Amino acid sequence: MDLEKKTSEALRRRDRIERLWSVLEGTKRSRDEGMMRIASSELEAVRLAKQESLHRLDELIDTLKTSVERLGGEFVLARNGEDAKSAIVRVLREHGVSVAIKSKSITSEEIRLNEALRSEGISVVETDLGEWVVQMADERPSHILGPALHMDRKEIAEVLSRSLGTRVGTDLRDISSTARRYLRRIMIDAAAGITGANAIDAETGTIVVVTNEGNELFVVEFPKVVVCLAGVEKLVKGLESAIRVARIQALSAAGRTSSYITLYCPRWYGEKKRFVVVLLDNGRTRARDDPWLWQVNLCIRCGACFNVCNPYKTVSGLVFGGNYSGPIGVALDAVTSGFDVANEYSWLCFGCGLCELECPVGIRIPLLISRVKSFARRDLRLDLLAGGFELYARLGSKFSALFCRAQRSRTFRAALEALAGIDRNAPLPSFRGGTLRKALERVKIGAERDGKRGTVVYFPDTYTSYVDWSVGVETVEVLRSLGYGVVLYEGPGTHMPAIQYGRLGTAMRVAKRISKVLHLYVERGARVVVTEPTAGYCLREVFPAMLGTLESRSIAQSTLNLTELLLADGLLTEFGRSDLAGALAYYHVSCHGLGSGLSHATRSLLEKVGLRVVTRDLGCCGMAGTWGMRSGPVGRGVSSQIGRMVSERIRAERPDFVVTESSVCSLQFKESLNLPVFHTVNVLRRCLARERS
Amino acid sequence: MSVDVFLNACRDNGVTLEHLTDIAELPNALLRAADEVGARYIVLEESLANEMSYLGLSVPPKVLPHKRAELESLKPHDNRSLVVRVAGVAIAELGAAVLWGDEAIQKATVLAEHLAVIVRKVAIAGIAEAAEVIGHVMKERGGPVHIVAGPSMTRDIEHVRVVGVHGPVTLRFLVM
Repeated sequence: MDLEKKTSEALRRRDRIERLWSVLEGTKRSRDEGMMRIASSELEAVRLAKQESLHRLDELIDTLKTSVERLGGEFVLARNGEDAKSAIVRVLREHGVSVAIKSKSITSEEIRLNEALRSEGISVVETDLGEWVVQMADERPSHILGPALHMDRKEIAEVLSRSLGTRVGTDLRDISSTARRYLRRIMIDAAAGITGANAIDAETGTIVVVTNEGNELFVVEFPKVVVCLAGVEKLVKGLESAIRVARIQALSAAGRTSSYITLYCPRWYGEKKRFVVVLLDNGRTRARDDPWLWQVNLCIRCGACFNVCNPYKTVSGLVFGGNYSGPIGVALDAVTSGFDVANEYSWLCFGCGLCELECPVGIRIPLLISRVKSFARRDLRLDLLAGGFELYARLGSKFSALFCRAQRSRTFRAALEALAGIDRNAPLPSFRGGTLRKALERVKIGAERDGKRGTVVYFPDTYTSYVDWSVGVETVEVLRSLGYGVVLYEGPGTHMPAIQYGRLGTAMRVAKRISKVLHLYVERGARVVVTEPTAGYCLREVFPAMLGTLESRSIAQSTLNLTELLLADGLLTEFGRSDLAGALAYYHVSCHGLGSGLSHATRSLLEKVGLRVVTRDLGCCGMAGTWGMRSGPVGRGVSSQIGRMVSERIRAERPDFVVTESSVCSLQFKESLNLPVFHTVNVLRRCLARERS
Repeated sequence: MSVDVFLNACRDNGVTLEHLTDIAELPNALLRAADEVGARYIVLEESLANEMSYLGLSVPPKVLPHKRAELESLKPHDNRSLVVRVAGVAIAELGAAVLWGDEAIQKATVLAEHLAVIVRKVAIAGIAEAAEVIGHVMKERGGPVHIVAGPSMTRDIEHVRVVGVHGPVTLRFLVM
């Protein structure tokens, strides 16, 4: 079934959507609390240890081989899944194994080990509860850590009742004790155990595995044959690093230390036990040479990126997944199973960037996904969306009356849908007419370069430059009245769609052009001011990551959100009480605002002018630039559903209005919430005008 | 400092903590623990049984001697048992006890319905020191080594916490 169909089906499962949102929101809260216990230096140490291991991977593989063989174990370096499967089949056959137990191993899902063993007459019994349930249901795991997260207790009880031929109640204790009863005998008697690894210390040949259920203890303690299947990227140098990886993995996964960390090596109580390490490459070492995808080898499989991925929460890993699932799954599948597998579902990622914020080892997941998309079959409509928005906006600013009329015409919308894939019912921005430059000339606010507080370069980005310049005019008014000299940036916009649609070549070219222009000002001490979170995200995060130049890094350091500038320069006192004072404002921090860390100042400023402010960590509103305007379930279908979920949560706070700095979030909320939506600068300008009068 | 970090981490993990000021309190503490969780048997790690005997401490009546044959009797899951282990080292940051031993006691630990671990304050260390000790154990006697910080637990269904899915339903640290 293709992605559109699967997505369409998933969107009909309202109960599942509600449950997944609620579960993953809860997981995120626990995780946030748990991660507060970790110093950033500890995270950095784990990242460096993983990075160092990657640099010395060949050497560590040799070291592990020596360690394992010295202790009497066997070592297999499998180039691909087939090699790994045949090695495991060979070992189990030699011992006449008919039943093997397995603790959760995502790597075994990658190579479809169970199917291979089954075809050889060896049955595998999963021992992790979720994995066992999924196995009983004959489905695939939908989450890297919670394989059965897509099912509720009723569905699980039904699956178990059907499979075991006995009635299993929907009470969680019923389900859990059924698993305990059914699996215990099998686990004690199994001839072979198959495990994965969270980390492997090459020096001592020690495998480190994190579990909460304790099933790993059965898998390594009872069977006479133990096979560890793990990717080469799990190698680290030293037990301390391995334990630290396990600690961070558990805390980042659930916000708490795992109940068990099991360490084992080829030596068991001095008795004979066959132990085989199958170290799987399957594209991982090749990925080291890729400018972006090498980072996938840093992943510690904590699943934190799933918690903030609103498309994942909406369609579940059954749709947002291949062999792996979720945001990092796209990159993992690309590396281990190929770009085609990954691109079967990569299009559910709309580049909100929040996964990167959650990643404890700092993998730039959105850029990795963009890289994966760049290998997809070319699609003219996506090319148009990726590169055409700015042209459309420029033309719209010139012929605004015509464009506004056309956008209301059914024929035009049908043509737009056919040509560019823009859904005929999606909200489109309405053109104010003319450009920001012209508007500033009209209202006679010169963007003079000199001011007592120095010069700032205002970077309005495409929407404010060409579609609706009102925010730009008010921003320049505020800046000028506070004594700043303002230079209006008039080059190309950030072209975020190019990144979202995997057009990295275009994105790089634009990033270079923007950097070249902005750096001329920045090197003379000017600061760059943005009012659109996506612009801040690109200038502060994406461009330095893509270009890696000194220029882009210095621009990143000099880029400030308007409110951040005012806070930094101690200008909050310039703003009196707002005429909206006392009202309850819901402040929506857009995903790119969160991603660039630009929006922290806004809340204190809104409170300073007398608003009661409430905000929740809801992530992306679903619009994501032009993404939510695309026709079909994967575009507008998912976007509207996310918009509904986010809006419901905002409505529950009973705000009088919404404040957001993002133009596209405004579009989404204007459609899904029956409330006024303001940009921060709208509020500020009113305060300033009131104070001055 | 390490002790405080350890105790705080244990509390975060939801482990039942009991402080003993003297080893002489141990027999009663074990009986109390067994009664609280409804355990019919107490299985003592051999080194602990020896130490108690050396110190002239009375062995609680519910204790099963640490012999492989008898440990086998623990296999049926309806035998409510409390296994008592001594942590060779405890890891402060994790609030966890590190357990190694012979095959029988390691297996009994997994099979037990309830687990109590004696943690001596002097054995509490940071990750780096604990890793060194574990490395030594691995080198000298092999694994598996289990780092235990909570009962057997899952959140696999609707993310609701359920204990005892495979191993111990309760975990108690007796800190001396």
